[in-house]
Amino acid sequence: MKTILLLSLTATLSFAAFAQTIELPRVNVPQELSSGEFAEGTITRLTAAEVAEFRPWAQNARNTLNRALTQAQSLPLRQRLPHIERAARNVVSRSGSRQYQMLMRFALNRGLLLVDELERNIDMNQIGSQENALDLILRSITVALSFYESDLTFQERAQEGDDAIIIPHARFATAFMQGMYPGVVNVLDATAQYRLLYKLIEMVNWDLSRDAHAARYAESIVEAYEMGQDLPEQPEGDDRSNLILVRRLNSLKVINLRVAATAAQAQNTNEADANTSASPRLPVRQAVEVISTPKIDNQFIAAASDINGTCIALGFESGLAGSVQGYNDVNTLAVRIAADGRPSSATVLTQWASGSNYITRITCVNRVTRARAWSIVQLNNPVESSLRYYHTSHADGVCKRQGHSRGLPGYYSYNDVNGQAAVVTLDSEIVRVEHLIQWASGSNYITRALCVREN
Amino acid sequence: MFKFVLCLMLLSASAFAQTLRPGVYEGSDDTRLFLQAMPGREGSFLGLIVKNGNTAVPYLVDEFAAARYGLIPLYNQRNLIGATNYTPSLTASVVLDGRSTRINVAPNPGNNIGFNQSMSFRSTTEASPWLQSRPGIYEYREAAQGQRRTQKYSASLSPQDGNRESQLTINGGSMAGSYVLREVRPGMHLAFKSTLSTTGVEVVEESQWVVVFLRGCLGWSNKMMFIDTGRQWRMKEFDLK
Repeated sequence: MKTILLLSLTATLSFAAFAQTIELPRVNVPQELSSGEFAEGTITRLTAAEVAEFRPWAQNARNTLNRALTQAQSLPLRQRLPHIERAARNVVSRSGSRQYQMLMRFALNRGLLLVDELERNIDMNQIGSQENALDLILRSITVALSFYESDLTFQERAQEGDDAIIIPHARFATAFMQGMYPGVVNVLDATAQYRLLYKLIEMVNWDLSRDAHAARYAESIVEAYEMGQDLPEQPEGDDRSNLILVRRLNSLKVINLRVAATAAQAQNTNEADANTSASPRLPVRQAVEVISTPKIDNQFIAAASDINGTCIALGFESGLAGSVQGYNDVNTLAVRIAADGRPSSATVLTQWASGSNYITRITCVNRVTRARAWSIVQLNNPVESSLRYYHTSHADGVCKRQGHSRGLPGYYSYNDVNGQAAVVTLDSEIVRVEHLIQWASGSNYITRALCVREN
Repeated sequence: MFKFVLCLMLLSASAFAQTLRPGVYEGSDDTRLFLQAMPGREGSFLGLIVKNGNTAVPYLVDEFAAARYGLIPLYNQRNLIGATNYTPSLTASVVLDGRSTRINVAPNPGNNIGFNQSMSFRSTTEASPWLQSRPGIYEYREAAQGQRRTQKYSASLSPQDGNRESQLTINGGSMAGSYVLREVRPGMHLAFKSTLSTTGVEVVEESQWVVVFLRGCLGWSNKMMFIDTGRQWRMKEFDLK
């Protein structure tokens, strides 16, 4: 009995000792965010008059950014960076002296800060530097737009006198890390890469440390804080040393917070909401869901799909930037989903080709009850009056002849029989009949294709 | 005795360990590895593995230990050439083998993009054939769909302008059209399909191509290579006339 008591006492003491070790360090606000050009401000709760100003700013910001993204896609390459950068700077500067402490503004402001750091550490005439700057801004815009709704909701709830709401700093930190990290590691100049990675981690750790549930990220915060104390803030003089420093930063847990942390945060938010949701006017929750190998009507979804569109098609409000993981070592059809949540005109055949693989993991936000207005139908060995369809046929034409709304380019075909196959046009006209020749490459017929049926 | 043997093994290992140099490396199974130094990243390289003259994968080759390298596949990311997963898909160890250098490449878990097989390359005396760009008239051969016989098509490339962009016109075949090539990594270009709108404004469309230029070497002529990084790394070769 004495032994048991002694053991339990020892266990209690060691637990107490362990608990004491998770004390969070005092993480300071990154210097650039506290004052100067990139200061983030301190206003979190706006007055009624300020909300009246904030709402048009936020709506205008969203429209400006979306328009800039669309326009840039067709601009000559040399004009893309200045065009996008101007749009982002306008949005940030239009918040004026108010410096709304909103997550959408944070994302843009910090994206511009990273571009500023890039320009300080690299010769912008160096090959690829303009592209890196453009990539960083585009990524920050994507993160910013994903927080538009939550920023508005936050202010609306604040206006309604809800004191229980909190800014989800950790969720933002996770999304910002996910969104920006690939852009930072694609800066291949060793000096600039180290500096940008250092700043990114510093900003993300600052957000984690001020989250209402910071203790849940204690391990990551402490590790990043200690590494930050240990490593130089400015890059070393030689590339090899900087790459060693980059590898040390890359080993931090904060880099891979990713989905797990977001899910944890969402759970926390839900718990907090559940405790305080006395009013039915407060239904907004950022509930994220990780979906493994999502399929639509039994078809894989191409990794090149739009992330928001994919989540919309899967029955959610939006997708979490940077959360897509793909797989690329099989040969299969996959549907590409456009930003509007519908199949785009591009279907891909995937086989260990980057950019044409299918999604194995995606994180979506807020499940909604909404029936899809379309479905995917797979045609297997389609025939018509014993005629097969020749592989050069138009996908729309084949699908229309089979009674569906439209087709998706990309198919499987087969070529080891003799026979005949119809060549079909876009308007579903049969223009001629081809004679299939056994074993002749290029004279094959469609064995599997995908169609869209509007419900 | 054990310490002596260990010492001897370490000494011999260090004597044979090599660092990579830019150049051309020949492998078995009709594979070639082209390396050029990566500016701003001393000790790292841009690499290109070409197999059977029809498949090619560009890599960032980073040194992570003495004579040990990681190969990270790079691909067209619409506005730049890079990766989303910086875990190497291949690792390479470099050893001295007689007078030549041998590079042993093996797959690395965590990234299965690009080549996923063991390969071995041996150094040649060829200097790096990687060119920034080479204007001129090019030719390429292609079989029309459903045909066996190939046809010859021509393409003309303008000199690079101050924005590191050049204009390419392909006069026939499946790739016919106007393109803007923009150098976004040293010797690596993104290809954008270029069209004119009804208002006369140039509209460019992103593609999945990465374009590189190689000087003639080991029996190859001067080449412009289009690598489709979105479709099985298929490569189209354009020979300089």
